Amino acid sequence: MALERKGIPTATFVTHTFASYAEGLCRMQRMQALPLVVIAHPVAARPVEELREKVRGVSTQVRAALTRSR
Amino acid sequence: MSSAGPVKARAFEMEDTYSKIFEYFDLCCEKGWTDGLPVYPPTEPALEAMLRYTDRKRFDVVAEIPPRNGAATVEKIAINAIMAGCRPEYLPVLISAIEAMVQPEYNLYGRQTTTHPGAHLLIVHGPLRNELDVNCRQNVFGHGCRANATMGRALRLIMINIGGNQPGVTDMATHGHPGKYSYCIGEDEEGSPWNPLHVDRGLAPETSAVTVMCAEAPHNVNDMVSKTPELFLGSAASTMATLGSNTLYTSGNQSEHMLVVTSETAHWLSELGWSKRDVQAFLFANARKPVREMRDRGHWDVTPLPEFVDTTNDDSMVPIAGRPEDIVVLVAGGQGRHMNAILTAGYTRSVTRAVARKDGTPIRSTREFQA
Repeated sequence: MALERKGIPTATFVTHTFASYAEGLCRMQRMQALPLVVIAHPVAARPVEELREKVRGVSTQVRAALTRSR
Repeated sequence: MSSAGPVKARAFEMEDTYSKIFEYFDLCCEKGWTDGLPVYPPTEPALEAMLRYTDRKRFDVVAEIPPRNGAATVEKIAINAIMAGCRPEYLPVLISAIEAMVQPEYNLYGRQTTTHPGAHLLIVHGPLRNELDVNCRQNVFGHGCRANATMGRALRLIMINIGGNQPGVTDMATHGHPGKYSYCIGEDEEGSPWNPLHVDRGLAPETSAVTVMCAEAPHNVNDMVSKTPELFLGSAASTMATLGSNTLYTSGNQSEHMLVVTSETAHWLSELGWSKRDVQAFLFANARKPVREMRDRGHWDVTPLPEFVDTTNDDSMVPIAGRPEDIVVLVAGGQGRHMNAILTAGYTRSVTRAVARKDGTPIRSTREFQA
């Protein structure tokens, strides 16, 4: 949020377990436009290949978030 | 005050009968206005009585409480204090505590929304402890004292009702801990051979003050046998430096610990020539784990460790804090040699603030507001 407020594009990763929480915080902070990239929970202590797969699945969203017009 | 005018609490009416108390509590539960325990009705007379214990105006904004960034007006702080069961004269303490909690180093936004089990520990210092009957001795973290129970609880209700704290919605604490209902102690200054914490932090002994620390639950350290300070405090150091704690891994960032010792212990250490700084220095030197045990677990490689730690050397020792003074030593509790280790998540520092008038002048007594 701090980076976005400075005009720096971001993509914020959040696992689906925390997605509604992240959306709620964005609303409270009046940052509804903050690009959230939701990936499947869990990510901690998971095999690297599984994590790569999860990230590959959202690469388009990450690219869109970082290159969007502001 | 916002440009749209003062932020006022919304009032509602209920029939004033005993049987309606339960309906009122049901309503508070339904609306999410409580911590789950019954709350007092913040009636207008109760509010007026409490507002007599401040020189601030009713709609003055003391702070904005994240994550909702709700305006903590004097009125709303008082309403939550009444709901928590506070006496009117507790209000100045709560206002100062809220001012302390919104200081940047406390990182209230992060502490309100984290998965970590942090609760807002309120420590009361100075003459107001005695005036308000804040317990600083037997069972100090436990039940039985109105001031401790209700002031700690008031801070939680303020976090809920003004800050938008809601378990599982904005407060993602995985387990939380019981101190999230209430967590408030006094410092046993009369029982201490050392300066109290607020004096260590630059305030006068006669100034009343609050310290807020976002803290885990107290962890007891029981050493009945050790005959030397080194052995005795070694038990504390071992308890404080545990592989599951955040602070070992955040000691290069903002890491803080607290060791609570009793008056008996403090005097024993003092008689053997140990100052509080000596205790802090000992814990800083000895509450450590080797890189060998820490590597590839916990928060390894997430947060920088202190520069003096050689992370390539298995034998390099990692401290629980970046500096000795970040290991707070506090005297509180009853008889005996039990100690309590209070860990934090890191990413936060405790804040001490005088209990003061609006202009910053410390108050000597809450009765000043009645003059």
